[in-house]
Amino acid sequence: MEKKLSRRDFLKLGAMGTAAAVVAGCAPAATDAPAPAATEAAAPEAVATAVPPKEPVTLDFQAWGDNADLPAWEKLVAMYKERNPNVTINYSPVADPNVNFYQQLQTSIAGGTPPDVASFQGWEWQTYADKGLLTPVDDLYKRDGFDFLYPSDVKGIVDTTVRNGSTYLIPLQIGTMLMFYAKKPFDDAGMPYPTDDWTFEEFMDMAQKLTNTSGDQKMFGLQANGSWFRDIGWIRGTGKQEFDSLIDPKKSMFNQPEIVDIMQLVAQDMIYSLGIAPSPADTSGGANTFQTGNCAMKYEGPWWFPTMNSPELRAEGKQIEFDVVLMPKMADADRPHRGWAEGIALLSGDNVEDAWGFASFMASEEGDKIYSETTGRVPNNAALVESFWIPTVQEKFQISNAKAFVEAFKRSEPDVIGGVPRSKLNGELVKPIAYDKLVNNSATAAEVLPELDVAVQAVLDEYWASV
Amino acid sequence: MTTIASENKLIPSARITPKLLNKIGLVVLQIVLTLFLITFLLPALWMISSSLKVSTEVFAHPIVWIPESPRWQNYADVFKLLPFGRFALNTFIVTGLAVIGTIISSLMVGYSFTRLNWPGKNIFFGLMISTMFLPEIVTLIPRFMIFRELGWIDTFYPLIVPHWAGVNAIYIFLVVQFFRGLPVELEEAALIDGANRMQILVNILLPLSKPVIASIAVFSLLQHYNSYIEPLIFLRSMDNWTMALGIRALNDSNVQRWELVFAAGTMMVAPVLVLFVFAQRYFVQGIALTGFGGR
Amino acid sequence: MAVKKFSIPVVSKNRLREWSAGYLFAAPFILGFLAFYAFPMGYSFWMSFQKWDLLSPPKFIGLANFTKLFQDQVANLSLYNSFYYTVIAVPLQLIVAFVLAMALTQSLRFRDLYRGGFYMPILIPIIASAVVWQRVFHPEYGILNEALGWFGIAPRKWLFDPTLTKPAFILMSFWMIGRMMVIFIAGLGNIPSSLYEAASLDGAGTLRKLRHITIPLMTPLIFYNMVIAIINSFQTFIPAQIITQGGPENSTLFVVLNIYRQGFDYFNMGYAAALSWEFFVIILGFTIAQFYMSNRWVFYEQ
Repeated sequence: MEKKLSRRDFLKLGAMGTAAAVVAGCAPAATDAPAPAATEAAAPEAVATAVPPKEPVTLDFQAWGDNADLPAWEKLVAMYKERNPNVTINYSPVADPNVNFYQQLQTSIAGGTPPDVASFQGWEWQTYADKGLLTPVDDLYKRDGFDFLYPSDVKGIVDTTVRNGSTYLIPLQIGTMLMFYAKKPFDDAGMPYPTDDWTFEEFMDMAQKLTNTSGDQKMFGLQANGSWFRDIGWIRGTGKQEFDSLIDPKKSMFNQPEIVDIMQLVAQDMIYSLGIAPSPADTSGGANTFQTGNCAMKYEGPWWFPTMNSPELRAEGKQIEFDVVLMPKMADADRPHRGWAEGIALLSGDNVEDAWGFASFMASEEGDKIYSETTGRVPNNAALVESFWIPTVQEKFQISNAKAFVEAFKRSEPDVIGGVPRSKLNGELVKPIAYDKLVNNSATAAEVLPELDVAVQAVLDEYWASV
Repeated sequence: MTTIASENKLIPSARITPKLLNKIGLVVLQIVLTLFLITFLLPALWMISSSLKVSTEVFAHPIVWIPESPRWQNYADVFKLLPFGRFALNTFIVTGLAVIGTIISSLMVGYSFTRLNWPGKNIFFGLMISTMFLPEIVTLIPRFMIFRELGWIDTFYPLIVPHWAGVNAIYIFLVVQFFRGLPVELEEAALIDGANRMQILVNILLPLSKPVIASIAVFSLLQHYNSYIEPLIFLRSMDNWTMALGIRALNDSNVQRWELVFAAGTMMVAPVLVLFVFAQRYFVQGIALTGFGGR
Repeated sequence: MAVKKFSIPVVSKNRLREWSAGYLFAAPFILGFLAFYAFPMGYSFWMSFQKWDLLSPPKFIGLANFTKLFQDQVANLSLYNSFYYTVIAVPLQLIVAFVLAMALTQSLRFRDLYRGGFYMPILIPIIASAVVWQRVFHPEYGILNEALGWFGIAPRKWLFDPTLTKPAFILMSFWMIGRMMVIFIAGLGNIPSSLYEAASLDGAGTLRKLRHITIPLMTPLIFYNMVIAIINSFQTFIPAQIITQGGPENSTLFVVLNIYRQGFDYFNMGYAAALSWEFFVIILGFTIAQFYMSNRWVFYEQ
């Protein structure tokens, strides 16, 4: 028994940015019911020209609840409701989604109250698809003329939206991450800003020179991310990878010398022996972070823009001026960056048609523009990126190197995709066995990675045995 | 005697009587207790004071004890971030219905255990007592499964219905203790006169039970109002959240704005504190009668 | 052949009426017990032999969950953490509550105010107090380190150092001694003052009175508080989940948190059920052992 009350006003953090309601000429917004049939009426009675009222429908949408996303969901839901008054969308954003989202989703499904539409990141939905919980959308794409994907040679997109020949994930954004840097620390130290062709040695040098933790106001060279999946950016730069295959891996290969070295450096040494990154104790409660102006650099994504600098923050004088660069050159000449699609998927159920109506609206050019410019995220359409996203974010968030995201995305590869989802690998294995200890300085990478390999291998073996 | 006292000048002040020592001791105790109490309550006081601070004051070093200009705005900001009013309403509904159910079922079951005899009564009484020692988690997971089958997940039913069914043995026990102290003569007379048992319960025992009802009301109110694990597991969509879940979400997503989390916490505690001031007697009474009361 | 005569016990109509009334009035509990205790426990028992992630049907795996839980380092660590916490926190809580109760049964001014004040934190929902204490322990901006600074003690990284997290939790647990304190106060009030007077006449000092009158007479309540406190302390969940998420390095991974995690984070439902049975058996054993040992030291008035 669900309370079917109309959605109340939710939070208005961040931008209700400049409404760029430029409706592109092309892609029509898909509606949830085909337009009334042609006028030749075989029926004896004259049919009125008005469209017969549609039945009321309620959709449940479990949404990714990052602070940057909430205003976007609210806008999109309101717009869709305006055009489709018979559809009520109950959306539940999940706070702190990096920790909570998939547990909530699985509990909803397990508890018998699955949503109709859910947010998904490019590497998590595969388990649900394998269990038949998601609806493939290829036919719906064909039927409604939905075509916006990046060219199919970009591995990052294809790998993260298609599985076993069927498409499940409807992208709302392209994800990739770069090195963000705050301008002020560089200015204060009289150092030039990093450029796209910088090297790892230059990066380490800059980070060390920028660090000054002696006074009351500390400055760290880098805010280390402290989690495996973020540090994949560094790991792959060495030219090695943690698995034999990034899609449906069979073998765990964390314990390679290059990986041991880089993890030791970025997860532990940067905090402790070099002191250029803040420890968890330093950043607890939100202190000493990149966005409070206490760190000079951080590996982040476009969703982070509104947190650093936006028209609202500038009005209050609280903005942090920043820009972005590609990750520094490391051993791997290809300079692989992490890249993936992120968006929504339709869960199998009774309301697929209506759910598709809402989902396709959000992913359409019109909807996606709104999503992209509210959150800063990169849209799902190559043309839109060039024509719309780059100029918009450069102006709104005052950066000049947004094209670096496009560059990064061209070289992207997925994190790891397979029947054992990344969240399970991280939450049950990598974090407790390796990362917690590294970040707390209680064991070295050389000590924890062999143990990690054994544990991950066991889980992979168990999975393959049951398939 | 006086000779000895007046002659013995080596005893400096014969006036240090045990009574005086006692008095000094009491004063010292008073001071120590006051300091201890202030230290004890410091986190709570700090929470309330921080709820009125600006972000930067919260992150201040050394600690700011009293905000420079109290920012009542923070309380309004909480409502802007989350539908806290909705959460409050949900909490009141769930708590109210659960409390009513607890009172009714406890009275009924307590009456049955004290005044009636039936086969198996002692066994069930023993079972009831033993459920007081059962850890919650043992039944929590299967209860989740059961409610899932019933389709009750993300509704208020799992939070209310069990309490209409005597799930809280503590309150039944409270009633049992209380009824045992009431004389049976009135009821026996009424029985002879032909009254049925329900009439006896309602017309005779109920009016006398005001103290125990008050205690049950006060404790079960506290229990349901503050409960966290059950709403965490049984509720999903934000429309149905209780205040406890709202505070958690606020804490998760507003890591830098402590003052908002504290404002929400203060708002949640305020009604209970007011209740406590007025109903302190029933708290103490309830605890004294059973030994439970709180956590 | 002699035929045995069966005599059917005759139940009077009145008796029957009493019985049915009894069942009727006790129905809420009987039904509730069956629906929310007996059945779930049976269900949980069945679940502990399955592998079930709720998205696919359950799979029977025999005793595998149980063999796993004996070898599972994390599960055993959670038991250790809970034991450590309980064994240290509960006796300390008992002592502090008892001393406080004694202090608050003296004739002091504003005594009720003190009693109310020490009881008050119990009213605060644990979720709110957890959030507050998280900030109290903050390494840079928390009031604990600040207060320690007044005495010249260096700040510690309370919730980030695995060796300090459990002591921090034990410190936090003192906020909840109000309940024990009130029970002790009630109990102390019940000791007839004539006993003390008689002892004074016999020349007993304060300490002796304490040892030979107060404490022995309070042992039932001490025992009672102890049993309840141990059960409650083993069930610590909310602060561990909210403040430290069981860390760092599982130093605050308590039993209930581990079970919750296995069930609702990792969806190993069968394993979580097996763990909760292990927990139940341990608590049961502990409680029985306490009752058994109580004969030695608890003094019940004849």
